[in-house]
Amino acid sequence: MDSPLEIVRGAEVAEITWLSFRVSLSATAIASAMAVPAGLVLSSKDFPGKGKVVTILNTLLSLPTVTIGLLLYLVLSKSGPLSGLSLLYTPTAIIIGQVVLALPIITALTYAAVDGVDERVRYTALTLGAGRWQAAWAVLAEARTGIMAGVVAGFGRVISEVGSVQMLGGNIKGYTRTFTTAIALDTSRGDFMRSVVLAIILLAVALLVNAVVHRTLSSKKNK
Amino acid sequence: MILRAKNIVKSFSGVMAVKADELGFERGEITALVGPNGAGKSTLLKILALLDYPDQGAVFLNEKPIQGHGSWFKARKKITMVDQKPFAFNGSVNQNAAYGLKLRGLSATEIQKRVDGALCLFGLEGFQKRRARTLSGGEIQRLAIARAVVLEPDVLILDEPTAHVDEGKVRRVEEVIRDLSREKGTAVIIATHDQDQAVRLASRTIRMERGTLLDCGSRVLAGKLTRRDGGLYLEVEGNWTGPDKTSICSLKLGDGEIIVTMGSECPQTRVTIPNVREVGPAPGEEVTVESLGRTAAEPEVEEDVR
Repeated sequence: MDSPLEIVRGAEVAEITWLSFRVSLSATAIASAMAVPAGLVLSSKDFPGKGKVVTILNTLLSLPTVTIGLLLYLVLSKSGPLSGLSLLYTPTAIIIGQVVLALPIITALTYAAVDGVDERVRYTALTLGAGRWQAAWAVLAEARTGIMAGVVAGFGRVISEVGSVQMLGGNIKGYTRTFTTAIALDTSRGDFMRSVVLAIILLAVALLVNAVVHRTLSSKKNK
Repeated sequence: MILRAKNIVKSFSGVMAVKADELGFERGEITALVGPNGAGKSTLLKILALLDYPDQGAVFLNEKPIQGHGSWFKARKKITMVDQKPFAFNGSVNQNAAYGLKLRGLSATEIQKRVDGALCLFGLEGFQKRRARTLSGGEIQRLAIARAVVLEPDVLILDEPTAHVDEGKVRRVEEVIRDLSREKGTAVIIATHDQDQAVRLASRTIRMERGTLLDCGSRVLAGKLTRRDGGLYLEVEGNWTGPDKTSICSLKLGDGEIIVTMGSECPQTRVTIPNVREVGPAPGEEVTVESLGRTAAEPEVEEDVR
């Protein structure tokens, strides 16, 4: 059995770390780009059925990940409507699954954060000559701590995800194997030392991302 | 006329909030909007500041109608409003004061120069790096006015601008507003509950009640104060002819002259200045003469001051 140090130094761990970090960060970025404006619009606009949309959004927070994995598998598989894209068992498929997972989390938390912003922010920005987008930006700036909490929660959700990653990525060594699928595989093989080392690295990556976000927000707050 | 509203109607849930057939504001003029709570002052100000759309009617800037989003956005750069509830963005005092200037794309040097000047005018020098939300209510209100004044807008709209300001600083704020109007030609519109403030600052007073403008014709007249037969008399140069409903609502006694502000709901189309025998203050004092108001039931009369 390899020692923890040998496991960390191994080429496969580096590949797993890089892939996990890359797909999770990409998925969070893509989901944020869609969810933050969606949360902002949802909070600032009144429209018929808005209450139902919020209820559905909150329900999606509890959607089982294997359900998302299954639905996307059916869409991307050889018999599915997007089979021609040959995305199944690729890092792209993992990213798609993670985006779907992160979307409701970031949207719901952005909605809550923006909804809590004093309505005078937008109004004051407009009185000082801001356009519609500039006023929206002022609102986002006020809600940035809550929005970043949503983005971090989204990242935490996708980097720790195993069900849909397994189904859509296939856990192919050196190609689609992430922390979570590797830990699941090693545990099933009885290689607990390797599982624990990978779990610790996973936590370290999550800690690093949170520390960077916290530091960024703190520095802006103190300016 | 820099700003004009024509045939404005605004209702909420079927209840009329504002109705203004014709309302205009000149450059360099300070107009006070007075009236009780719920009279529609804030709603009218929001329409004039292009923050709310009227149900009917139009707003004109430099005699051009403001229509469509692009036009509203451009016009809003020239009209600035300070709300009655003071508000500061999350950031430093300096960042707050610079917000509007940054939107206008001024250079960093120019922004800092103007911000420093404005903060100094409002007694906020030395507060630049402080977080704005740690300021007191009065300081935040002064910051909000400084943030608007620094933009040097064509029209400055102030809703109860000194409601939270410490008594000692009120005159300073008023001086800055007066200077801005006089030196930059800014048209200033102030909604206030403080009748004295309206008299001190405004060259025109508009009274609102239940959404309607009761008096758009107020003017400040200058006259001479004389003492005779043991009484105090006011002699005004000529008679004042108002367009609609007018009467005297207050007097301001200056050094050897008296300024009479017209404006209340009495149905007088021609007003001569009545005897102020009962007042009797020394020149230099400021008094509000409530007893001079004639009621609507009284017939229109001309009173000779002598």
